[in-house]
Amino acid sequence: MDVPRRLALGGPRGALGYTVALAGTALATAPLLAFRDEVDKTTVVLAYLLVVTAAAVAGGLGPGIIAAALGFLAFDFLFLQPYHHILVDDPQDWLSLAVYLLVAVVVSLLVASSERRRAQAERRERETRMLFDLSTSLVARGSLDDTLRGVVGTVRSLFDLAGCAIMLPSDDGVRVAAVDGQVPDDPEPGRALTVPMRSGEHAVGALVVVAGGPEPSGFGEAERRVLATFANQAALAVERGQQEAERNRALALQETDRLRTALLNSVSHDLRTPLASIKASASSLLDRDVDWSDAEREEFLATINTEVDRLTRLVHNLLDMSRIEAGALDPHLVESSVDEVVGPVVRRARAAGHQRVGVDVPEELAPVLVDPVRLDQVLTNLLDNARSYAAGSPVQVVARQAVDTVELRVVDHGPGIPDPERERVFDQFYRLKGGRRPEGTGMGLAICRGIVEAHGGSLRAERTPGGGATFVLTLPVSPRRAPVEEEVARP
Amino acid sequence: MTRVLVVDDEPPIVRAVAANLRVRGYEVVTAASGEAALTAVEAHQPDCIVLDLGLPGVDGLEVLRRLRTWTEVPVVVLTAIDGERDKVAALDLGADDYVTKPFGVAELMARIRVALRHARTAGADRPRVVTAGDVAVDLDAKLVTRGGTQVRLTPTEYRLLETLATNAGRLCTHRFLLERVWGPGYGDESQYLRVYMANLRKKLDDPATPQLLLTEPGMGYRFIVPEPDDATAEA
Repeated sequence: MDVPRRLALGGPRGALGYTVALAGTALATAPLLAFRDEVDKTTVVLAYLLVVTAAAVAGGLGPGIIAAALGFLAFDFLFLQPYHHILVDDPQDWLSLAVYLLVAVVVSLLVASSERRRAQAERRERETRMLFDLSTSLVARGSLDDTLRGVVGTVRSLFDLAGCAIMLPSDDGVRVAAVDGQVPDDPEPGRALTVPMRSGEHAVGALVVVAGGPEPSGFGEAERRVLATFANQAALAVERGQQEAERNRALALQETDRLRTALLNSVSHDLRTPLASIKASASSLLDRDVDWSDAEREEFLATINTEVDRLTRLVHNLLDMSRIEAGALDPHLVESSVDEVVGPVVRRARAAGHQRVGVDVPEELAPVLVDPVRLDQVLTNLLDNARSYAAGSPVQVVARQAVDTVELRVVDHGPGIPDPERERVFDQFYRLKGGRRPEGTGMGLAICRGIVEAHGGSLRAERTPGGGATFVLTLPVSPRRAPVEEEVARP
Repeated sequence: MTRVLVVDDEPPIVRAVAANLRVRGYEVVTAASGEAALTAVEAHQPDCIVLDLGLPGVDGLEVLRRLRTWTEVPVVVLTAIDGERDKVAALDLGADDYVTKPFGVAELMARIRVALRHARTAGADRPRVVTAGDVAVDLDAKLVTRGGTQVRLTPTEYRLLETLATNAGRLCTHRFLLERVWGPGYGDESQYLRVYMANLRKKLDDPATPQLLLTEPGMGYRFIVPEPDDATAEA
């Protein structure tokens, strides 16, 4: 970037102008003086006008006038008769002197003013380019915080600052929204500048800049102007970002609301359906006008019995779910070996006679830290699932040691879970399309995952190689490893 | 024999309702989805339909909408307790009555009987005098008596009573009554109804504990005719 780091036109330029005025006059005088008798007065006048012009270009009006005065004196004393005297003999010479002085002053004025305009234009161009660079940094990239970080970085590098920060109002006072470099809480006065970021009438926040360099030079008029303009542009970006955040929050709330309504509908449907069956069966049995046969009576009672079970399961699940969501599951963790937990679950599943269950749990597995009752619940549920969705196919329970976890897999060879639904099966009330499990509550896997996560573990679904679903349960290994007895070499 | 189609996706409900209908002498056809229901109506031409609104796939309201394009078969809908809007929508679509789940079977049977009776009398031979307790409405003479004494009604009061009496036993929604009595375009003016119903009750009923003109909160009104004793399908 070829933009000058600082905008101020300081002292060095003025000094250069006076140097040009003095040295130029001296340099012009020396050769002219050597050939004083041969040179024409016009040549002398032109030479000094040249010096005046050079001084005005280099240093503006002041040096130009000084050069004009020096030239006047040199011309008068050295080149007009009588030499070394202010007075001149020839009235024609008075006229020459006057014309010289007039022309010199006019030249100085013209050159100085055009130089000033040029400098102004240059400064404006620099300001414009800086503002352009700054504005580019405002073009939102991602979140508001990202944009603000970009802004403070750009401001700091463009103005060669020690530090730059954006302060925004927060619930309890003011917060630093973005910072680059060093911005002390209490910077030296004169070194730091706080520029309000205005949008319309009100200030959105403030841009704090801390000057760099060895000596605190503060900020010039031009820099303040650029900073103020830029701060206001940044204010618009902040407002835009805040509105965006507000809109996103509203959208998220809306989504939560929609989800909650869907859940409520689902739960109320699931609760109501068994109730309706129970009510219909019970009111039929109670109807004294009808003489039911034994078979009919039996069927009503069976319906009531099944539906009460279904309702009970649902209520249990709902309670578990709300415990998990409230973070109140609070598993009672004890050091257990995996086969201690897997054994009874598999025995129960086999005893029920519905399932062929294979077990592969190596003996050398590290003990895990789990709540055996809860883990039993998870495994039972996973085996139930396998029975419902992969009826008839054998199920394997496989445990493997990983670095500091034990991975427990429940592998079935049923139809499996389609890729896009593999994560969704863990959502509450999600049921696989075409699932043959009307008695399910749609909460089983959500609860399993909630329980496993409360243990600090994880639960995910995978594809079984060759087809089917595999549920992978990762459990943390107990940190209190059983003491390993070292074999002592006998002498 | 009277044939009833029972549409619900919950097998235990279908079983219970079907058993109750059969034991009372009805012939029963069942369907577990909206599509199956529409097919069954064409195949079996039932005399009455018990329709669950919460069906998977084509839902109950849609089934009702399609049915009403070609048949006036009486329909009693089963709805969830919080399905207020669905209830009104179903009634406005032409359902004859509704029963809220969970329901007692006796209540459902009574609603089915009313719907069947109304359908049967909706033809040319409908009774021209509707009697309920000590109130008699003579639809031909446009004469209303209470305990044998003539009751004076304004023309609007009479039209309202006539509409309710013609649909005796059925739930008439606000929209239905307003459009019948005041005309299309008045469907949302429920306050008219409140005023005229209050007047009718003052003249014909006990305003404190109505026996004849019942309010179904948020839904509509019902003209109550005590059920005759023939509580079975044989009629």
